[in-house]
Amino acid sequence: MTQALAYSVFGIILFGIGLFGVLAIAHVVKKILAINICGVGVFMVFIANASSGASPDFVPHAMVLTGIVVAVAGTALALSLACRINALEKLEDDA
Amino acid sequence: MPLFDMSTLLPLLVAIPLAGAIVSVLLSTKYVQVLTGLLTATSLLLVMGLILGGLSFNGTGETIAVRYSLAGWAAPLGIALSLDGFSALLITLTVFLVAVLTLYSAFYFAASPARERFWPLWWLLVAGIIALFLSADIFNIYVTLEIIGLAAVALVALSGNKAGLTAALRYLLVGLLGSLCYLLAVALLYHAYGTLDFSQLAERVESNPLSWAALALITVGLVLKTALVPLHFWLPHAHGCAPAPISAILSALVVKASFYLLVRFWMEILTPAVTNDALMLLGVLGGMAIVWGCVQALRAKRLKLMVAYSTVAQIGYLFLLFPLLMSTDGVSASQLAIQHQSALAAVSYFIVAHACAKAAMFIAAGNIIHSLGHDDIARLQGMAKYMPLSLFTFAIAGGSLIGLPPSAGFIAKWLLLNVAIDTQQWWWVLIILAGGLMAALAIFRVLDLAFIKPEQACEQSTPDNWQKVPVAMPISGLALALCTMALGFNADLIIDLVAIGGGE
Amino acid sequence: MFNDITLARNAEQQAGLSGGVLFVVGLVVGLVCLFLVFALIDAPVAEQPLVALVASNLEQSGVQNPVTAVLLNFRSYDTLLEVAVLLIVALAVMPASEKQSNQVFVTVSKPAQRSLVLEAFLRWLLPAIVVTSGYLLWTGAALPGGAFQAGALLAGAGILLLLAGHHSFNFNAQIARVLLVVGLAVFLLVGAAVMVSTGTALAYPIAWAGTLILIIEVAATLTIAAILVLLFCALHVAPQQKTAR
Repeated sequence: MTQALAYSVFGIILFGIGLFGVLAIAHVVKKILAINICGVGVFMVFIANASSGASPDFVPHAMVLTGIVVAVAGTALALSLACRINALEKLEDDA
Repeated sequence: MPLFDMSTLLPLLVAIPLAGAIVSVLLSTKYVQVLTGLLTATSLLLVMGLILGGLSFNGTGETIAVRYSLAGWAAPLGIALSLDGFSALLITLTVFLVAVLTLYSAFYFAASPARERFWPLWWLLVAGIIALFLSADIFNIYVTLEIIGLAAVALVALSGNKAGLTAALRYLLVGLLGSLCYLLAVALLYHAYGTLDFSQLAERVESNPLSWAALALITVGLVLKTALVPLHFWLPHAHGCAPAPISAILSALVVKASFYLLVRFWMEILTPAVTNDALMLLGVLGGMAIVWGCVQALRAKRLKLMVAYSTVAQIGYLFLLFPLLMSTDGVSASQLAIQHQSALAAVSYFIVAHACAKAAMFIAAGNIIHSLGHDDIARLQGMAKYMPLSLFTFAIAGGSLIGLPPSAGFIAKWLLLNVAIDTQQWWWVLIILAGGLMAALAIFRVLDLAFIKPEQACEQSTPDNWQKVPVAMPISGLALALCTMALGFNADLIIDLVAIGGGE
Repeated sequence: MFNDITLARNAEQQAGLSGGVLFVVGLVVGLVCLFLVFALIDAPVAEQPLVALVASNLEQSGVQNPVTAVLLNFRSYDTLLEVAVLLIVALAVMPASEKQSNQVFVTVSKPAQRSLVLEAFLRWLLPAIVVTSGYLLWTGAALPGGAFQAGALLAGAGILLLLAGHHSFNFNAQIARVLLVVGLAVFLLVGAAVMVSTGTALAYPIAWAGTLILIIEVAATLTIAAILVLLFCALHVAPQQKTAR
């Protein structure tokens, strides 16, 4: 097993940990974190595979950079929705 | 010789709505946004018309798929756009529905504080949908999926109440998970085959565990986004809680975008990894979706929720495509190609029929909410008297969903039945007929209340806060509903279009 | 801290997740992972045709950093759509506009509690951050760096400014709106304008490629910084509000 392959196997394991978290944990913030762990796992598979040849492949690097920005955007949207729901719930509790 | 190289118009289809979004952010006064919207919709229609013209008059008499290499770099280094009959049909449908819904939204959001943010998000969503249908690059597809997913969530959240926000959050989490499954498949495919381009990938894919894994991940991810039973749990709330034009585009186009990708991957790109058992499994899930969606639609208490559950059922019909692709022993390759083509034509027809009918229904439901302030089915008694146009729209669109002749829904089901019988899978006939019957029950339950008992209803449900809707709102819904009728008489148009560049 | 978000009832799938169900979920996820690992190990190792393609076309891309070349030339369409993704989220989290305060982007106020050390420190730090951000942007052409890194750093400066308590941003102001879309708008305009010379959308003429990429990146940096600060504002609960509860 080469080093690159080991890293991509661990990437898949990270994806699995995240997947389990998304399915098993109720708390929404932890769910969002779990999705991020999933994402990191996928990015790791990309990067590890990119280094498996003689010279590194830069296309996956660029794809991961794009993926990170998209992941940041998705996380921010999820957190802001969670905050707004939370604020509405507090209003209901106060009323 | 064509007058111009039609492929240069392809990037415009994405650039126009993006430009519309930018202008609507910068100039956010009401009239400028509406004007921008109408201008964007018109230019999209115009460009798509030119492209369709180019497709049918390219001089050779034989129509083929069109490709365009963005940034001047051919695949695999660059990203290619491609247009064949199937994607041309879906883009035409998108452009047409978006034009009608833009007109409708101009009135729907006229007095709403959400208007300012609605318009840019709307155009970004449209850009995402068209970009997805045009793209021929599996990573680029991931980005377009995220545009669609995030814009759709942001639009659902525009309702601003707790139910809408919760539905949006759930939709978002499901969508993100689905995209990540898809992205992992992209990573695996790129690792094994060294390309991201559709056609190059299709040439290189072999039947091995990695291709199976990639196909499974893509299918799970996209089925989550398409909301096939049993992964449909997020759809009824997201589609039911959103403002009407948004529910319409979500049901009519957004779920179809991920279904389109599934068809691409199963029929063209990852074909060596496809097995008959897997095709059958998708078909069985589709059958379950039809039954389950219809049962829930019958039990729904709110009109929009009922329409949303009917979407769950209609998605089930789309998945009947897959078992009809199965190859049986003793069928030659050319016969199989014809069988694939007719199955795809039937399903494409179904997509168009359902998109028009469902958009019309959500518009009708939106009008009812707009003027009554609620959509409880039980309190709709005698409403036909107050809003005849909206209920008429509802009835015609409902007829198409049930599959009554001469609607497009009837032709769609007829084509589907034909293929099912040709491939000797008669059991689907039973499910299709049962689904039509149950859809009829659900729709007549509403119509019965609205039309048949006006006299008992008069005193108790004459609404106090009754608001009259601008006449353009029911008219745009009615136009869509009549389209489903018109399409019933012009089936050849769609079937011919799908055949372009297909057949492999 | 996000601890006060307790949305335990988020999805049907959690309804009564007992130990048995957790075990089954874990088992299924484990099996899926095992299969994926097996598929990966078993996979044919493809030669990577893109490695050679990127290397041989790098000279015509206008930049020396291969990642930047992929992001802003070979696969620039992805990056264009990525900026659109950021814009979507920015629009989604933007606070509802208030008519009276529509004009001013940055308002300066005197907070009740001042931290003189923090203010003095920021006076030194902020210009340094802006310069570093400019350097990252410039160096992205040859070394790791570029619009996103520069934008993230610039956003950091904005967040420090917010946290010091003197400044607040109003993202409904016209100038803020310009900042939010300038990245996408410039990208789109450049992508369309180059059609005049090369006939293909987003295909830069070789002589101009470096300059055009820099222009796009400057605009993208501004947009990314503005959007990240907006995201922070949308999620940030001001301390005094929190103690009031």
